[in-house]
Amino acid sequence: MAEHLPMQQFPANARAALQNDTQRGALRAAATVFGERQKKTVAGNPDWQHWRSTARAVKDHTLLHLDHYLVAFERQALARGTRVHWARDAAEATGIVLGLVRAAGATLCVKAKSMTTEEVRLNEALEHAGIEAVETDLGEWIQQLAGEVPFHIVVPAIHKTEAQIAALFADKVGTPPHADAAALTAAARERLRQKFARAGVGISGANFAIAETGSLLILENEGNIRLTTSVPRVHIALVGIEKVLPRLADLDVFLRLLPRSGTGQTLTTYQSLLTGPKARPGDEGPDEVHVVLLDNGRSRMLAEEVTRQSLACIRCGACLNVCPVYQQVGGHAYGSVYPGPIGAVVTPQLVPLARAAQLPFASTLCGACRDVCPVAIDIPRLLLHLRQRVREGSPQAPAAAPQRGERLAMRLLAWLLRSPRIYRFAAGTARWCRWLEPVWHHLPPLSRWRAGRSVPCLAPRDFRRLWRQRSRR
Amino acid sequence: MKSREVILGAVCSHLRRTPDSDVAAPPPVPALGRVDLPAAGRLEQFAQRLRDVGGTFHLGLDDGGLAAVTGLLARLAPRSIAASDARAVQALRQHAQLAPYAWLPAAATHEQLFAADVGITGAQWAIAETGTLVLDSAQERHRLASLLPPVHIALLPVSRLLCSMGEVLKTLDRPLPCAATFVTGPSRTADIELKLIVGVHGPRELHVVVV
Repeated sequence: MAEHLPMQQFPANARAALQNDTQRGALRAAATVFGERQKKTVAGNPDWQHWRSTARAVKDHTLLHLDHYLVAFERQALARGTRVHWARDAAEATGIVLGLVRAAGATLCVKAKSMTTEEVRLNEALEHAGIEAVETDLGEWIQQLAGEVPFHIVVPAIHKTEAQIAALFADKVGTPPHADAAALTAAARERLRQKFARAGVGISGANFAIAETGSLLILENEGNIRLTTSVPRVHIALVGIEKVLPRLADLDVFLRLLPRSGTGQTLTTYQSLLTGPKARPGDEGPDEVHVVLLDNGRSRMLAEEVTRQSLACIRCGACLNVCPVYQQVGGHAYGSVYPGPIGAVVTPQLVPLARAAQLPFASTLCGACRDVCPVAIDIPRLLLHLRQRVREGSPQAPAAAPQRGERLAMRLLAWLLRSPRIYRFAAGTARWCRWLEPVWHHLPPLSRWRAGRSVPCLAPRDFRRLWRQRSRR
Repeated sequence: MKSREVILGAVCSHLRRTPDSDVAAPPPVPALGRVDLPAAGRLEQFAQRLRDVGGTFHLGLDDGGLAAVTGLLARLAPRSIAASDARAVQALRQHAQLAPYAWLPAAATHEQLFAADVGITGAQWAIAETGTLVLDSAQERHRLASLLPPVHIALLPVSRLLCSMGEVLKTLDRPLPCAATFVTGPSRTADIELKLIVGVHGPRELHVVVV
């Protein structure tokens, strides 16, 4: 999986990100805008909980019978002339796509925004083979010009200011150095249309794959996905095996949840429901459609109920926007193409656990991600489960050495909390030593812990005493 | 076929299933949203939602949209018009007022379509709840005419206006067309500082003329 920054170094990455004020400002703005939009479309919607549980029930059912629905999807897709390929891992997926692009004789591919192609580092593989792969979503194109992976699942270049993008475009595209957002967008339209007109292959992901009809459904706002899947002679879609839904009718509830959670829209501008290549030679649309079904660690997550729910994710990005950690450190600190709370649970299950052992700890367990999730994934429970697995270790990933100081402190705390008498004595002593607080707050180890947090001060009188006084009155 | 068997085998073993294990019935599909709006209410809701997302609503019930389209074309002064092969569109094109414009043939090349200033198509269905048009590629050649020109004018027969997405998913012709495209307003992006810009890769103007 693409690693922008080493994911083992989350704490260091996060510290660096905290120094970047422009980035933090942009993240704050995004969190506010998305928070308000999400509230507007979700709160005050009496049907929201019903939609959530309906969608989750469909996902749970599908995942529990995934083999059945994958085979059904394949059968229907083949019947409509779509060619279906299976990829166990990233290398196999990029190999299949590369083979198809070469067979099509294409030297230029246009790409629609797809996290799955980022996951398998498809662009890198294509470029390595001398094939130009152009991202066509505006945000993705900005990131590609800048040589960066997406910063946010839905708004890839959310961390860049208009001025930064104008400077980037002036350098790479030749627009005036102080162009505004409208001029930059117009320049992107012109430049990318030349690519669409010449590209031999269009590559996309898919939001949903429908077993009943062998169709793909893809959502977007810009129109680049329609272009990618309509203009080039060949369309290749890379689709995770968890994207399958049983019936066409199941789309209704997901098309209500995904746009509202992703961007706060009632519906995105375009949905393309695609079923196979063109039926007659004179028709519009691609001559060939290929679907590459990707496992890459997903089937493993089916084994346990707690991990299986990770596969219900519809990649809306709502959990990023509400996460207090993501809001401060942003997407790149996670070192994975999947950032934020969902990234912190998905990434450690896709790569060897030891490589992403820090990520399950990159959370305060506040639960905002679970509350906002449109398919009610219990992310905090997953984080705890993965933390436990990191601590216990496995043959592939030996346990991380627990810190001695932390272990000692926990043992002391456990002893202290076990007896009311000892607890009362310790609390009393601490309260008696309150005048020392300004001193020991500035001494290690507390001074180090305090660097990023505020220490709560002990109240002058404890609850027990207040309670006694109250009941006496 | 090896990877297929490996993946399906892994899925089955993790789920403790075999390829011929039973499949429980999927959960029932509830009807979501309002499905009981009368025709007048549907039209009103559609117009409102279309305006909310930046589209423009026109009524052309008496003249097949002639007056609305004539007005739009007079303002836009297109150098060329991409037209679909829908009967309603072809009828407009024959009209004396509109015939002088440079209409592309329905089977125009990609190059011609990329250069067109206006696209005029029909629409097979519409959804009142969201202000959405549904374009069925098996019924009409409008996949590119509705996408490439900077202005898209769609003629919507009033009888094709449904209440909800769920109804459309039930009503779409089977087997499904190669492409069923759902269009809700003009193309948009907010990828630069979350500023809304209309007309990025698709049309910047969407006009729906109800006929």
